[in-house]
Amino acid sequence: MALIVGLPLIFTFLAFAQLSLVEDARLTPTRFIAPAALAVCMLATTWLLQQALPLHDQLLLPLITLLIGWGMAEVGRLAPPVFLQRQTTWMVLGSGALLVVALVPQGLQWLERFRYTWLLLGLSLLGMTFFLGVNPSGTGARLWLGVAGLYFQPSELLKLLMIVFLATYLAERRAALLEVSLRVHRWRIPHPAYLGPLLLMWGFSIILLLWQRDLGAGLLFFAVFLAMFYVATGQGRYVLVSLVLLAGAGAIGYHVFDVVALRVDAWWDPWREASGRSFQIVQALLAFASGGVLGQGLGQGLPSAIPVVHTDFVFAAVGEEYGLIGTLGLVISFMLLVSRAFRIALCCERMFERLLAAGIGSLFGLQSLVIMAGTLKLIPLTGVTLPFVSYGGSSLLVSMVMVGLLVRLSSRPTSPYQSSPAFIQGG
Amino acid sequence: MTTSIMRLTGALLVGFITVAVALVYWQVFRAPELVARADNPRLIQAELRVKRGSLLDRTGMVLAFSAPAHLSDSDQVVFRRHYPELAAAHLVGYYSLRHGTGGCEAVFDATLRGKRTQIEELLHRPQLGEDVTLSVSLAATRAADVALGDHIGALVALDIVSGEILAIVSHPSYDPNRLDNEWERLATDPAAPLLNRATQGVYPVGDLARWIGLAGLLSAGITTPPNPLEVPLEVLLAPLSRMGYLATAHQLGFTKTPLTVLPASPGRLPNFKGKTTERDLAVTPLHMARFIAAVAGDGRMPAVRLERTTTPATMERIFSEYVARTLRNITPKHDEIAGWLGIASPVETGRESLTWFVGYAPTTYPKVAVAVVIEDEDDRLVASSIAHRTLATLLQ
Repeated sequence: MALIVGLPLIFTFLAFAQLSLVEDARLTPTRFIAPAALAVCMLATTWLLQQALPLHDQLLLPLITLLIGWGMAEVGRLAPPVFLQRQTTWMVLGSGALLVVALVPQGLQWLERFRYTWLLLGLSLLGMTFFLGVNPSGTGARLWLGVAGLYFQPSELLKLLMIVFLATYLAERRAALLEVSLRVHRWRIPHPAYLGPLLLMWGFSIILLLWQRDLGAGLLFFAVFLAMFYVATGQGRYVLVSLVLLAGAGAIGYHVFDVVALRVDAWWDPWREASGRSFQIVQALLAFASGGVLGQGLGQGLPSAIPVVHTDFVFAAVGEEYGLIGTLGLVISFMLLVSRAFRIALCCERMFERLLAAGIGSLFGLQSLVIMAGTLKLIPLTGVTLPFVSYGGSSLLVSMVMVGLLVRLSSRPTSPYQSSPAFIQGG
Repeated sequence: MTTSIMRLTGALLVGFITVAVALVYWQVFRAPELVARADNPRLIQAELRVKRGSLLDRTGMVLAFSAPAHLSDSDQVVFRRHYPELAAAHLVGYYSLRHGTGGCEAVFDATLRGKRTQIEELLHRPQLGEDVTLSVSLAATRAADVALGDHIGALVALDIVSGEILAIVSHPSYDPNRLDNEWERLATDPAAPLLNRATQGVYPVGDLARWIGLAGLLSAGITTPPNPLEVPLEVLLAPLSRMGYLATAHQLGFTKTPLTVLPASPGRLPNFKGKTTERDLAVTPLHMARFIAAVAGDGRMPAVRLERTTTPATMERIFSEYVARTLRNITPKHDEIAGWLGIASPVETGRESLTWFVGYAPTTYPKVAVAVVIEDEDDRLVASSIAHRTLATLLQ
């Protein structure tokens, strides 16, 4: 079963071989450093997890190997060589982090116990970008902190810490949120004393993000919060009310913030300003179109016509060079990843673990949907990365940590993937 | 809680399915329309990678060719068009990403670009075009270019038997190698360097109205005076009504464009209002060259061709052998070259005088017809000397 991880590795090696043949007209050995590093990391991780947690979800690692390998091939294709070096470095760090998170001895209590610490850590790192923030590309939003040549984006870490915080808080206060309620007219709403801290923390992070004009992350936080709140309470009306509020906020933002107006206009009618404000989305759609069903072949299209193609628009680059076959393959991979995460959530017994798995699943699902739908003109475009695939070290590292958590959660003795003696004896 | 997790999973899966449907929409259904959009950079990229065929003169000399060049920001091989012979600029034309194609580059575009099969498309093989051998003679073109010098005007030389264009030169000219850089200036220059005066310049016939009138009189069977070149034009044309003159102009093909592929203009008939006379009929040098080709070719006018060919020309009989012979007999001859000199005065041109020379050579077995027009020039020998120098090269 563990050998499934070999298939995405073969795919990655073939992609790099193709890239080498197209760009150098021969097989250059140095081109294969990155896929070799991926193979070593992923085979080692798989083997170690197989030894330590033989009953973990067997599909998670092959899936993320495919996504990371594909992403590294795209970074090698679309960006200067140093970007691939950085991405590979982050992938190695990410594998280590994945193993550590999955193999911590005492379960996940360490996450639960220090929830406020984690959240404050995330928020203060994000706050630091106000003063110490840099942008590796020189200009643009200063969302990164630089350490020893590697740049880290705290808002990526905050995503994970927010999920952990919400999972612990909602798990603890779920009963209270459901039962202790105020009656306002005909509506029953949770008591402000319980809802308050939640909204406060969440609002604080949203403001921080909006302050930095990181719309994509802001939208994602909102959506993940909503998804976890819904999972915890099972009350659809909060979701409805929140979506109405979101639409209202969008309408206000449209009139107040230029950047929102620009994104909405470019989404509603990109063809009118195809060479101006909606250049990016129009070029993305042209890339999808020129890929057709079979694609142009890696290295043989012109995805570089799309500005910042290697981060926000990697999906369009896949569309041009791998065609519909490739894009549907990516969509199916994300569908599988998300359904595995929710399946793990269903199999967890403890409330915190359920919420944690569901939160991670929601984040993977929503984040990939937001950027895929954005590049396809289904929703206004917001700059978030395609998890695992886009260039972006912090995003890759944090995503791999989250997979580490899923691996850990999936190997609980109570999950139905197994019938270990512990399960039988412990009942 | 299980229910809410299931519902959330379902909602996300619906989202993924929507994305999949959108992918099919853009990558399959809307793809053909989007790929063909003019602002698709892939079209330019594909265009740059086409290795166009060369344009050659009738002896195989290269008039236009494509050579590999490197774009600064990519290592893809792209091709650049070069034009080594500036004398042939108007005939050869230009190939520009920004301004399209002109001249023979436009006429033979399909052949020069070549075609790609589906398999070659799939394998990303570069598109290879075929060479085209034109009928033009580079030597004659160079001679005409030198002879025209700083004069504003044009020359066209035609093979009487095959209808092949042997030379087209128009002054002022331009450098097709620098077209993209100089387009603004060229397009707004009052001297109109981009205009091909040989096929697009419509000039009043002036004195040459006598020869058109004579062709009309002879075709209608009206007796002409014994000294038709000496009687005043009004007296000569009196038996031929104005309608008869216009009918002759139509018969000689002046109301049509002589060439459908190159940019060319039809002639302009006089409306006889005010002071306009038969002399105000306006035609291009190519019209005149075809007229005298018919005179030299026993009344048969060849269809004009740009490509070197071995098939005989399609001939159109426009008047009888008798008319042609009579016109040839009274055409002045000098040094094996027969031809008509003419001046259009400022009355007709609306500016300075212009000079025509329309002739054929050799006088006994005519092979080449030529027409020269020089703007702002009243020395009738200028046009004829340019024609003589070009014909001398052509008949070597």
